[in-house]
Amino acid sequence: MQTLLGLLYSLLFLCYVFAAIFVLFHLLRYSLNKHSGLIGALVFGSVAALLLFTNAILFFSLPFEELLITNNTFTL
Amino acid sequence: MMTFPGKRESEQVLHVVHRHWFNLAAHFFILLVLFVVIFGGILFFTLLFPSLVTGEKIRLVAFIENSFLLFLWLYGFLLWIDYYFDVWIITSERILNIEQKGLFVRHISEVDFSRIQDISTEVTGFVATLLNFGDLFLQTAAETERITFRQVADPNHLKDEIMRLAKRDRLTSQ
Repeated sequence: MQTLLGLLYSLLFLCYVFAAIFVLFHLLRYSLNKHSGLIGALVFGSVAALLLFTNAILFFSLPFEELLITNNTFTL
Repeated sequence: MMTFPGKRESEQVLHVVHRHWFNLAAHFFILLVLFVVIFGGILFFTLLFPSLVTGEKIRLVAFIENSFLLFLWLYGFLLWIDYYFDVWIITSERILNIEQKGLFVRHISEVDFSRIQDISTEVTGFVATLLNFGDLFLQTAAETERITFRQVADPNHLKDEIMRLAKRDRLTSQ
C-alpha cells in the first residue's frame, strides 16, 4: 500500500514538475518584455521550487503506518 | 524593450493589446473561491475535529494544504500565461495575432495594413457594456483569414486607430 501511494505521489509530483518547467519556458521564451519575463520567471520559479521541495519533504515524513492503521480502525 | 520574433528592422511597435482585465479577473475569482473553499474547509475541519492537528496527523493536514497551494500556484500561472501570451501587436506596418491556448497551442498570424478590407466590433453583455470591452473582427482581402481581437478594451477606439493606420499606409504606398 505504501509503495502504491509512493508511486502515485511520484507520478503527481512529476506532473507538477513538468507543468512548472513549461510555465518557466513560456515566461522566458515568449515574453514580449524580456525583463518582466525574467522577473516573472524568478518569482514563479522560486515559489514553485519552495512548494515542490516542502511538498516532497512533507510527503516523505508522513507516518504511513500509523495513518493507515488508524484508518482501518476507523472503518471497522 | 518590447520585441517579438520576426520583428522587422523598419517597423515600430505601436500598440500591444491584451484581453480586458475583467477576463483575467473572472478566472482569478474562481481561483480565489477555490482557495477560500479549500483552506476554509481545512480550517473548519480542524476546528471541528481538533484531533486532526495533534500528533502525527498534523503532517497529513500540512501536506494536503501544501499540495493544494502548489496546485493553485501552478493553475494561477497557467491562467496568467493564457491571458498574457494571448496578444495582438499593432506595429507601424502590420498586425500580429498571437493566440495562446494552454501550454501547447500557439497560433501566430499576421496581416499587413494594405490587406485590411473590413473592420467591425461587437460589444455584448451587461458587464462588457459597462466596462467597454468586446470583440474586434478584422477581415483581410484574401478572405482566407479573419483576425479576431477577443475581449479587448475599448474596441471602437481600437478600430478607429487601425483604420487610421491603414489609411496612412495606403497614402504612403501611393
